[in-house]
Parts: sequence; structure tokens; C-alpha cells
Amino acid sequence: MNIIGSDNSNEYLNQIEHTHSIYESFILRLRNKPKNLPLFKYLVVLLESETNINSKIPFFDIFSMNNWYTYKIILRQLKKLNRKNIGIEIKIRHIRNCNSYEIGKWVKSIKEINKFCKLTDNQLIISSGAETNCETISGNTFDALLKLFDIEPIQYWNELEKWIDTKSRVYYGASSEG
Amino acid sequence: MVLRRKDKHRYLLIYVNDEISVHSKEPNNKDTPKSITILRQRFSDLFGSIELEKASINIIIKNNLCLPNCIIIKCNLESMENVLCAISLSYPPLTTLKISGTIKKLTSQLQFKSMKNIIT
Repeated sequence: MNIIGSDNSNEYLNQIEHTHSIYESFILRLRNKPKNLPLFKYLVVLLESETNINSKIPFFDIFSMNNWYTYKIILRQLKKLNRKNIGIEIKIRHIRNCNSYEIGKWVKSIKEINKFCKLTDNQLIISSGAETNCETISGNTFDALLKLFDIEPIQYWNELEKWIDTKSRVYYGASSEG
Repeated sequence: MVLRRKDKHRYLLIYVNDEISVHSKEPNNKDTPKSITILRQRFSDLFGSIELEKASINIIIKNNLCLPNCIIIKCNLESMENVLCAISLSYPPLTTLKISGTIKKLTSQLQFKSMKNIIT
């Protein structure tokens, strides 16, 4: 799977001519549903720090978690919300900044979140959350981390690929949706 | 059944963040770069001191690669996954660029300026 997700959407929105060839492997992570987008797939990401989960919550594809100690409450609220096929994202960047005790807690919570996702037809997304080059994580390392979380890497990548295929949409302009 | 004399190892090319430059050393042990100390500490915290000894994480080449801020470390093949986890969960961040069974293969695409500072 050769797909990159980027939070930095402004850079790509106005580069239609140069980016035709790579748009298949590029997904924009947006905060809101876009009104006008060039040829890029996108997913709407909701951050835990900026949202309270309730019935009035706007449309989203991915819910990004950043605290291990709130995961039980979040899972309960997501269960109540009863939305299928959403992605629950955890960034390695957040885990990396923690001490070893907290990393242990993260590992346990990721196992629980994975179980929850399996039971409720949602998708666990482990991402690097990299903001600089040196925070990126290689494929081998990702597989090792997945095994640490008791997740079978091949199965995980296959499921994630299917999930991205079904979720990501392409906007060809303001008027028509592809 | 024949006993294998040597454990198999893997060599890892690691990019070290600017915050922990390759050159900065621990005050207690002046031969060990800070990056390795951070990695060993994280590994020990996550998997325990026994696993750390089994992994035998050692620095092989530092400072003299053409790529700036890169080091090569050696670890036991059986502990590879734990080492990769510890690398990815280190803070400040360390990044694995390449993994190989021999230094020759690992460095085949890199040009060395000198091979003076080899630590065994």
C-alpha cells in the first residue's frame, strides 16, 4: 500500500496540473467537508482535543485520539453514537513523547481499541503522525509495532487498504463530485 | 544437531534527530553517543534489562558516513522487532533508514569519508 496522508492541505489544493500523476496515492486529511477541491482524495479528521462526542457531532471519517487515559470514555461515546465504518486513529508521535509507563498504557489501550473496532465494524488506524522527516516510520518498524499491539500486520494492511478504498472520495470541482 | 557458534546479527542505519546530534556524548561514558543511550534506556524500560542484554545493541560506525546525523548499530536478529519498536518509540525521535545482514550491503549505497572511528 503506497498511500500518504497529509494534514497540510493548502499546499496541494491549487496544484492540479502538477499532481495528476500522484493523486491516487495521496490523501488529504481535512478538518471539515470541503466545498471546492481539486483531484485529491480526502478524509475528514476529527481531533479528540477539539471535540466533544455527542449526537450533534458533524460528519467525520477519522476520529484521532491523543490520550490513553480517555480511551474508555471515548469508546463508550463512539458506541453510543453508533456510526459504522469510521476510523479510530492513534499517532505514534503521541506515544513516543510519553514515558515508558504511559507507553505500556498506550499498548493496552490500542489492544482494546482494536477489539472495539473489530466488534463494531470500524477501522483502527496507526499512523506515524510525523511532522518532520525524522519522525517518519518505516514499513518494517510499523510491522514490529503492530506485532507489539497483537495485530497481525498483513491482515491489518489489507483491511486498511480496503477501508481507504471505500472511504476516500475524490472531488473534481465545486459543482460535481466523482 | 549442530550448535551454531555465532548469533546472527542485523545492522541498522539510523538517522539521528538534530536534537540529539551524533556528536553529543554522555557525560559518564564519553565513547557512547547520546542516541544509543536513549535507545538502550527506552529498550530497557519497555522490555527489561534481560532482553536488553540479549539484544546486544552496539554502535558500529558513527560520525564518518556521508549522510549527516547517521549511525550504524548492530543488534541480535532475534531481538530485531523489539529493537525496531524501541527505535520508533524513542524520544527525541530516531528513524530506521535501512536494515541489512552485513555492513558491506548496508553501506554499498553510501560513500564513506573515512573508516577511522570504528568501535568494536
